[in-house]
Amino acid sequence: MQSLLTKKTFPKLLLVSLFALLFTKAQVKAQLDTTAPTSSITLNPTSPDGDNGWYVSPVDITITSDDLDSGVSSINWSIDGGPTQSQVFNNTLNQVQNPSFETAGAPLDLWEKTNDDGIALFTQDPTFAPGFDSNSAKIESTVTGWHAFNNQTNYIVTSPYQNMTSSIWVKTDTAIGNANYKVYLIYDNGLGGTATQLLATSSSVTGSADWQKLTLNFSTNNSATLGVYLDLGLDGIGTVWYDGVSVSSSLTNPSTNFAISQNGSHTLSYWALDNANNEELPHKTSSFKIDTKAPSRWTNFTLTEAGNNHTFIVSIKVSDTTSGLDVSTAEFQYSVDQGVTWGYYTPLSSCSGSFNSGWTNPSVSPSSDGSTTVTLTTAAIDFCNSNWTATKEIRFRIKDMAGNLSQSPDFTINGAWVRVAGGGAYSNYNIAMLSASEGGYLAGAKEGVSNITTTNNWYLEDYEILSFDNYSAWYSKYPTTTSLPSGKLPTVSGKYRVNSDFTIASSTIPNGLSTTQNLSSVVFVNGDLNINTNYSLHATSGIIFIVSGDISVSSSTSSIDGFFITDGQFDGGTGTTALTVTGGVQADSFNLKRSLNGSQNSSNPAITFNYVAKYLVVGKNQLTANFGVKWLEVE
Amino acid sequence: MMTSASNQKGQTLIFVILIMTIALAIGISISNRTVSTVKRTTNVDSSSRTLAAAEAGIESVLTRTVTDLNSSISGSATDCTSAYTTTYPATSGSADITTKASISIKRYGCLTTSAPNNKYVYDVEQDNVLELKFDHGASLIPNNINLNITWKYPNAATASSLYLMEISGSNMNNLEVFRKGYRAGSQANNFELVLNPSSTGFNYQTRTHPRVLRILSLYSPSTVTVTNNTAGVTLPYQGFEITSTGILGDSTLTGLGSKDLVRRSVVVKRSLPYLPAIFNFALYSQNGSLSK
Repeated sequence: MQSLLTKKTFPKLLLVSLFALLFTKAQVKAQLDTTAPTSSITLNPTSPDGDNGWYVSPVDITITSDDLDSGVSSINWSIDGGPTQSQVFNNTLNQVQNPSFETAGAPLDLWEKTNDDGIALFTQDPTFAPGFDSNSAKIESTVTGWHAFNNQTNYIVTSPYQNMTSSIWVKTDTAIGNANYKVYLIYDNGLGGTATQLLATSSSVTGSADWQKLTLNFSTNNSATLGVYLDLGLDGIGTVWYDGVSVSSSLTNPSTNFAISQNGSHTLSYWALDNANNEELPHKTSSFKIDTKAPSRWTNFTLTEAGNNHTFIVSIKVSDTTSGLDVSTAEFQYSVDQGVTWGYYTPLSSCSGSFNSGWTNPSVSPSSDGSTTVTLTTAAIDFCNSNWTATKEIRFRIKDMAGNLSQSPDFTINGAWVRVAGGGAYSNYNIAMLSASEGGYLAGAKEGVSNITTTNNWYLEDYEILSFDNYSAWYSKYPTTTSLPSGKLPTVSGKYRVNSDFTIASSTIPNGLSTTQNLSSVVFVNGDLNINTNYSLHATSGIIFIVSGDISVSSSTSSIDGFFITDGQFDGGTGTTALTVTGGVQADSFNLKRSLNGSQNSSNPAITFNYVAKYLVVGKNQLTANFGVKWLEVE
Repeated sequence: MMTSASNQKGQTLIFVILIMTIALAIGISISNRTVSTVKRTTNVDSSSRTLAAAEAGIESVLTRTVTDLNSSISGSATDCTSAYTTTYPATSGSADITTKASISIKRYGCLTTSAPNNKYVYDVEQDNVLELKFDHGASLIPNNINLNITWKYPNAATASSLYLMEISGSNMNNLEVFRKGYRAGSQANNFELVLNPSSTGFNYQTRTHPRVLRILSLYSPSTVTVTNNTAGVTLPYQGFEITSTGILGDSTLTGLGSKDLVRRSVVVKRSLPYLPAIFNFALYSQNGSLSK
């Protein structure tokens, strides 16, 4: 043993021992991270922007996490107990020593005073930012000038051109001047010494402000870089506290941002993990409720005659399935001059009283706030006369509990309406019937459904159904060039094409069409389809028209049979004759302008779409190329 | 010194032999690698050719009509066991090496009431339709088929709803449509709520003379499992399962068999034709408002 400790070997042993000691210290430091990260959340809007604690806009959420030792490895969150989502961070090891100012010195271990003029007070203070142990660094200044704590001597060793992030928590009390922090670069000046260079300055806090996090991203843009140090201070008079200092080689501060727009009450659970796998427990939670949708589905528009044929009690249903309805906000007004002036007469039952231009209240049932569906019912309203060609209208409005206001369409008294018998009605825009209409079994629209009832009260509201095939897509599957026999509608099953406009008139309807049984035909019309006369098909027969242009039905036509698919508009014609379409219509848009005479609209639809099952059979007989193919395996 | 010189000459010989041995080993290694690469390339090429042949075989079946396929397979509409086999192309090529597809086609979806053949799983895209066809052949199947239907959807946050339309009737003159709606989540569509859609689902009994049951998946794709609970009744087939095996063989062989070099197989399921979801609606507007 003695031979080992010679003059030659002793310095080597000493060097090895020092390295071992340093290595051991580093190991101990790495292994001693037993503190879990701490997270905080900010919402935007910062507080509910609607009534009764509801947000009426999507909530933008930012979760930030700190870990002063091994660094944040991930931020995790779960909405309403759903699957956990995570954002992972790399290189977040905090390289600042005594980052939470828990170790005292003079006054703080490893931190020095900047501009120690003997007037400003530099202390370790038992105030601390949430999650950062029990102390902070405090500066009390009664004079102008920059006073700060810096770690220039114990600077953070880093390499040139390193992108880094930093953060710090700060609190102020009556600060007159800017409280912030600065990042300085320390570099080799080439003369055997070092020099410093200001790299970045954080945003500032003034006045009295509770703990908040300041962050800075910076780059060591000098090839002779040795490291960086921080200068945490106050430029002016007041008191400032600093806590939770972090500098890492991460490209971003541990923070994640996402928005929640789904309506309803939500509980967000969030937590962070550090690189030593310490989990923030218990998980933090934040609860909030969102209702971005105004009341909707104005349906069951009902007129009840009260005394004479132009005095009605009017009722309507409206729903809000999220926050419920604020029944005290229900109002209505009406117009007896085709929508020129709106308001109400006092009393409602006479047009000889004074006319008020505002809104008045209906009765509401049920009358409790928060009800999801209510019926608004007016008192008896005199619409002044029974000249129904001069349109008389009424409209309602109501707020939900979140404060979203919804106004109904302007409903026409004794207005024309549509009946969908069987099947369903859907629009990729909206359904906004001015008079109470019937939508078969299922009514749906992308942007609201109003004033259409369904047999079982089934609706697809705010739902966008994916687009369906247009003329080109259909024709590419069935590229027939067979012309219509003699230019007339077919009486033999098959697929046909008209490569121009086509008109259904008495001259293009073959004899015996209405009695031909089991006819299954598809007619492609590469142009417009005009229907100028009534025609019918046998109950076992059907023709599917696939049209590239518009479909127009003449005003005198009252009955047609077919399933019509068009890239253009379906124009149902005008006039006072009722129209019945046996089959169905898919169109880019609809123009439905028919209206019956006098008060006939009160009981009869102007247009009826009579869905019949035969077209499901007819279609399958001819449109056979639409089948599912599933590739199961390849070996 | 003499002894020393002799020893050095021997060392040179050993050194030369060692160098030659190493060079030979390297040469053999490179040669092996080259042969291996050529073999691998050949295998990849053969594999690609047989896969292409298998896919071509599938495509040849997909272009055939349901009537054609059904008549090629022996057995009735409730026979999902019998298979029809063919090859594609039907005739041999003139080249020395030829690839062919050996194709086997059988019906699928013939549900008995005995597990595991009493249920079938269908994938239905969002806003798309699954059609179960009951009326194959001249004689309609018995009335009131009892089914259990369960369904799953890929994202728990977006539960799908099923909208059912059944077309029934003994002939075209008396067709009727019956509708039901089922939801798994909180959608405000007023469909009937099913608490455990993926396990217990719901039971559905068809009408008199059921012909077709259309199941529309809303809000999300659905994986629908249909179980036949009708005692003594086997449901008819719902499509064709096609297995196509591409084979690279010697053209001198009289057929495809024992001397095949490479085989690749593709399995495809083809449903019966069905009409898209727009045929559920009497009134459908692609872009404009529906107003009156």
